[in-house]
Amino acid sequence: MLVLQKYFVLREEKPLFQPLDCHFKAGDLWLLQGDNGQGKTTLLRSVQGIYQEFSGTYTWNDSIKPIFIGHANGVHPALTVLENAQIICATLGLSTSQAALLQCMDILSIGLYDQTPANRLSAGQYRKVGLIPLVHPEARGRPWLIDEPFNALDINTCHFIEQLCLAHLKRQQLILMTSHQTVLSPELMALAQYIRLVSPISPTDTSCDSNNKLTVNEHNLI
Amino acid sequence: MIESDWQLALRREVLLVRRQMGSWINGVCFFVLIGFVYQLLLGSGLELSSQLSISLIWVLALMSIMLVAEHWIKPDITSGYYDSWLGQGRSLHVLMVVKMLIQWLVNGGILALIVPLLAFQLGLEVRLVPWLMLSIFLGSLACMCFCGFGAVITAGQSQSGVLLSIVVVPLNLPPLIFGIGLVIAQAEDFNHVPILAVLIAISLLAIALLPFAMSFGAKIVNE
Repeated sequence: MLVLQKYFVLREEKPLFQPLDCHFKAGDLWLLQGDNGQGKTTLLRSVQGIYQEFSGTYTWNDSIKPIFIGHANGVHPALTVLENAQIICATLGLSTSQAALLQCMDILSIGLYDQTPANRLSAGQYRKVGLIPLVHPEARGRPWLIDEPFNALDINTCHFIEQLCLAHLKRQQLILMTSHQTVLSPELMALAQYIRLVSPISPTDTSCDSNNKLTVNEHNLI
Repeated sequence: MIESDWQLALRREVLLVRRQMGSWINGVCFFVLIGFVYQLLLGSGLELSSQLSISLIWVLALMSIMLVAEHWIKPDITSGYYDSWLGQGRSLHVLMVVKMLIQWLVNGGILALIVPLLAFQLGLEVRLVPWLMLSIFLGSLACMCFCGFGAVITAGQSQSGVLLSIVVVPLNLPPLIFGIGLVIAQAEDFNHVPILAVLIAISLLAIALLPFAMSFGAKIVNE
């Protein structure tokens, strides 16, 4: 699905982490781990084509554009929830029929606020508006790149997002996710594979690990 | 059906103009209020020359555009909307062109419509008023583009107001000079056609070139 070769991103001309050689296959769940500022978000943005300063290559085997969900994900504070949903889904190339979007909002329990401007929502509800594309039926056929999906969400919604991810994996789709949340549901933990981003000046190596634990100095899977 | 960049940008900007009414009303209020205050401070005995009142109205229009320019760009960058936009391989240039045109039609149009109010307050000759409206409407497109550019490159700064005025005011001198010049040419019965042509040319050049600069700047700031 996605292949990284000697891949690292640069910020101010300095590499952020040690080069990665990874092969992400359809149906995989990969969790990016690393300290703050280690380049997790930047890595996601660069394989999506948003951030251009990188070295090495990334190759998508498919022409389907992945769905990238960032921190705020383009939710404009002045627009209402429904308008935001329309704009965000349209930007991602998802259909924007009002009925479908209202249904998505109901699933995330923000359906009551469809006419409320986003800046009146709580932090968690605001985040949910950004997550609407994940529950959109047409998003099921595309890889997901999700940045910190659990931030500010209540525990039930976290579980719900985990269930969404599980269903997505069952459909043989790729998920790349950064998360500081260590406790995931057991089913998801069983499927997860880890990439640990390590600073280039650190003595240990960056590792891609398909086993369900973190190891260092054990390199590349390809 | 996947919407094209133009359709989507148009849909979003129209929505934003409707929802961000506060921001452009802010600019319009500034325009009107400062004009009225000036009139009050001037008292009754003194009469402004038409040159002075024309340039006063023009400068106020420019300042009111500068005042609201920040609201066009900053929320897009802080909310990461450009990430979603660029991530799907869409063209930021298209978004900027549409943004500037919509803001011009709404903001510039309203400023031009309000001009008579200020013009009569400041005692401008009636025959000059339509020309002042026209010059503000045409010139404001260039002003919007320059201010938008300033807003893009200062969007990453916390104290962007100061930087914005330093960057933007010199850029705005050509539309300002020719915009005022057009009305003065009318007042003094010069040939106004060349000035009008230059004013239109400046605005067309601005809308043709500045969106490229804006999209390039937005990419850098967005990173």
